[in-house]
Amino acid sequence: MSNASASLLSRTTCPHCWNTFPPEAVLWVSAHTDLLGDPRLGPEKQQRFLPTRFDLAGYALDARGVRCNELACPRCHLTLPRGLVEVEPFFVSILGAPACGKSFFLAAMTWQLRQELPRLFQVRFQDASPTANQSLNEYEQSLFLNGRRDEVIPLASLIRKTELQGELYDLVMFGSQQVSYPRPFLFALAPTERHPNAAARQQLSRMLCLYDNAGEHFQPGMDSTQTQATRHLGQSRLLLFLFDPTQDPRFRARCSEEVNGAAAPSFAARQEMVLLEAIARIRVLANMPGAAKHPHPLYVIVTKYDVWAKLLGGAFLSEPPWGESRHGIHGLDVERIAAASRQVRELLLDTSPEIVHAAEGFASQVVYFPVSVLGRRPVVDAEKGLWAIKPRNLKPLWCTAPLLYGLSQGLKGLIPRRRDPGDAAAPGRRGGG
Amino acid sequence: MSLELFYTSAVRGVKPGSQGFCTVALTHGMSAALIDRLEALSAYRPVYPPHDDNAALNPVLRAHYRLGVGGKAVHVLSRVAPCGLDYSRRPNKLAHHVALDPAELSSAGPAWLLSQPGFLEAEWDGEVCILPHGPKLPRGAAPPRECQRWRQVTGDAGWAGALLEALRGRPERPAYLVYEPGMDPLPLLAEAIALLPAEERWKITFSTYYAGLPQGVECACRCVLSDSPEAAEAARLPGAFVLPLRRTGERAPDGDLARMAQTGRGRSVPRTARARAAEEEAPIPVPSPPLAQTIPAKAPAPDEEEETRVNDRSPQLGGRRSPAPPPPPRMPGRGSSQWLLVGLAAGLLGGAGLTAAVGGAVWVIRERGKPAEASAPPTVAPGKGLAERALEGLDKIEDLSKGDDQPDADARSLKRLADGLEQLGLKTLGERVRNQGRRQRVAEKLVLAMREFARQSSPSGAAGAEMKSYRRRHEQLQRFATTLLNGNHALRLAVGPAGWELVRRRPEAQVDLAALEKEIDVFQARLAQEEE
Repeated sequence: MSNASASLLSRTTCPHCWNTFPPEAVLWVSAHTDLLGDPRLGPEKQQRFLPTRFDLAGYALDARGVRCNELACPRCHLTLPRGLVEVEPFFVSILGAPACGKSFFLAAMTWQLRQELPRLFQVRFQDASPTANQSLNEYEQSLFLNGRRDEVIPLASLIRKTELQGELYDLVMFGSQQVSYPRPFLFALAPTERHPNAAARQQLSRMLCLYDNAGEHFQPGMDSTQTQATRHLGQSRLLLFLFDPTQDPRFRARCSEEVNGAAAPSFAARQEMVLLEAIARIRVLANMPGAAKHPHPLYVIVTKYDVWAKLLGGAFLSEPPWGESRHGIHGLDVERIAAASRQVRELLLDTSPEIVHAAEGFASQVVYFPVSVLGRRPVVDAEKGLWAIKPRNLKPLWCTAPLLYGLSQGLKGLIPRRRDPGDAAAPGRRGGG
Repeated sequence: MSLELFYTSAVRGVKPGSQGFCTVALTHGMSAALIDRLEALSAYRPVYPPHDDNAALNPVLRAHYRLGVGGKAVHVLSRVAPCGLDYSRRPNKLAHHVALDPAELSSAGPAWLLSQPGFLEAEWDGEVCILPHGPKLPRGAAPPRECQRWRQVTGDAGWAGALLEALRGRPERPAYLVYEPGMDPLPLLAEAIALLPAEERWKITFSTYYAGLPQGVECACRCVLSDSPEAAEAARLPGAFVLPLRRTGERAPDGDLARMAQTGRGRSVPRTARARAAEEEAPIPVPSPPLAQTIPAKAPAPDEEEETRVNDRSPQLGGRRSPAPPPPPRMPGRGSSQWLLVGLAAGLLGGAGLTAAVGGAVWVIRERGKPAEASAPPTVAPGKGLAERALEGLDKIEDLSKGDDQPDADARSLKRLADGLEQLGLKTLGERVRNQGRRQRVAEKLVLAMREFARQSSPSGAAGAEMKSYRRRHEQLQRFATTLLNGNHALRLAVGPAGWELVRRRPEAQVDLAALEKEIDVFQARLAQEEE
């Protein structure tokens, strides 16, 4: 095998429609403006085609002889980053009820991964497609590079509610059938030259595929042939279920007054229904028998730790769950993660036991994470009566811990642990115990 | 019967279990298909967050769409706009849609109807319900008049007519009006549409804040915010009508509708036959371009680079032949022209690609700069010796296509290529290839080498059958080299990264290789026959 042939996958998966195909079947996106109109994407999109002519650099030439740069899925015709035919995708699904903080969590997670992965873990983390990631980059900018970072801004103004239509979705026509797909956020993950396993770069590199679904998508009956916004659940290697304790009256009853103040949400949501619906969809998509356990991990992420921190003893998350390892780079402190998981699980069993039962009845590995995107308790804007914060005060806590832990589990060798894997402290075996 | 639907973010919707963005009220009897389509039309992208000082400048989307539902054409009038905070204290929006049967259409037109106060709601009363009937439709008239608002905004009322002419003349191509936040384009649209005869007014689809739409929804006139992605896309579309809604000092093109807009006088003229025919053929534009490239190569734009232009005429990789190339430019000197023709014909007809064509082009440029008498000195006599050496060279080149799957294959292949070139009598070029550090140029070098070989060994004194035989051999050699370059190995050498691997895996490339092997057999058999 030559180097060139080794760098292409035998099959890859489209992050838009989750179709698997061999790289040589990939379509190219025409570049000449005469070639507008695609049967799947509409009259204003560039035509997709299977090329027969190429230039010296291996780029396809379109029917007008212009060099093309973009690839597209042979099924849905949506654009793919070049790296997707060279490294395997790693799908991560983030699910949760409306207003549980999915978009905030996603933006905080990716922003921090940009900082922490190269610096601490010697792992490159880059936008595989800046165009596709544009919305997420705007979220990150609004939170962490806000031009009004010293002003108190309502949280609702930092990231708007995720819609069910619009720029976060792509509409594809299959004959007369229109299908809406969520737009993925794609990141290239690869060990740097200073990583202890740099020699295994090809094996350890991945294309991280994330989605920002609206909470409404996970409601019963919202998955249909026309709206396939959550079909990534079937491909997911890591399920992150976000549980918002402030939407649970039982949890709220044990929290501080601030949580129940004027700015607090006055509504309640049956969040276990979202999880159960997701479980039902995964069983169908993955063709799983009813009694079988899901082979990939499910992490229950309890958000808004900043307002319920007292229930876990206050400053529990003051330090990140990693530190120097013997590999010369940082490693995950699995003991701390296990301890946190046990505490959160106990708390949930006390307040919202149905979440624990639903999660542990489905997945073979369940871990519980407390996280806070804000990193501190928000203030109540006196004028508007809304939760607000100065963007400069944002200091996310443990937002990257679930993904880092998931990568360390699913991609051995990329993110080391501070202790050997054989140690008894590994969390999450049989329900996070 | 008119039907209406309200869509917003609420703690509870009409559908059991729904929460967040959902339908909160709709007319009894609305089909599920229509509900889906109307919900899909409820997207809204705010420019400013709700607590921003400029939040009041967020545009209100008011639109007239035409769509097909269940085989029936439905006119939809929509209003989508921000509306405070929802139950979760996050920014909310309200979408109100009214679907009309063709029989219900007011002669005043869609823009007039949308302008009527209270027709489409800006607020929802909070009651989740099934409405017993649709909204009451206002009645009224909108006679054509001088387009004063257009004059105020653009400086020339005639632009209203120009917009209509654009929409009538090419209904399949959308027109774009670009405006700044804070402006409301609806009164402008109402003025313009009023210039049309009543039966044509409902043929104009529009959105006052276009930010993308589902497929199959017709929206011909798109008002977009300046500095928005849609405005950038409009500027990119070839031949699109794009009009900034501000004073540019430019006069609108003359026409019946433009004069009518300027004066308020005249009568509404019928549509052009072309527009009517286009509309009858395709009421809602559906693209059907070919998946594979079958469009013959067209002369590229003048600003395209030379490399692209030459390659555009080259045959496809799968061994398919392109149409005969145009005659080459006239060249100084008879001998030079002959071999230029041979070189170009071989490059363009013989399974060549970019490499051959570029090589040809480079050679053309080089030869054009030379005096006629200086070109093609005969240094190698044709005949058996040449054929033997050509075959030896072919063997070497053929080796390049075999089993180079070792890590250092590229270096070894380069060496073999240099050996082959030197055996062909091309020592200088062989040396250059041997010393070639940049693999990207190897493929081009090989083609240049073949052309150089042809030039050096051209039998300038030969004529008749000998000349013909030599040309044929040369062409075959050229074809082999260029096919080899495009079909398999040398280009991979030249490219290296996964880009070429992607090409190599294509079935056409495999087919091409098989054809190439057959071609080599034929070539060798012919040479052997001639030598006998």
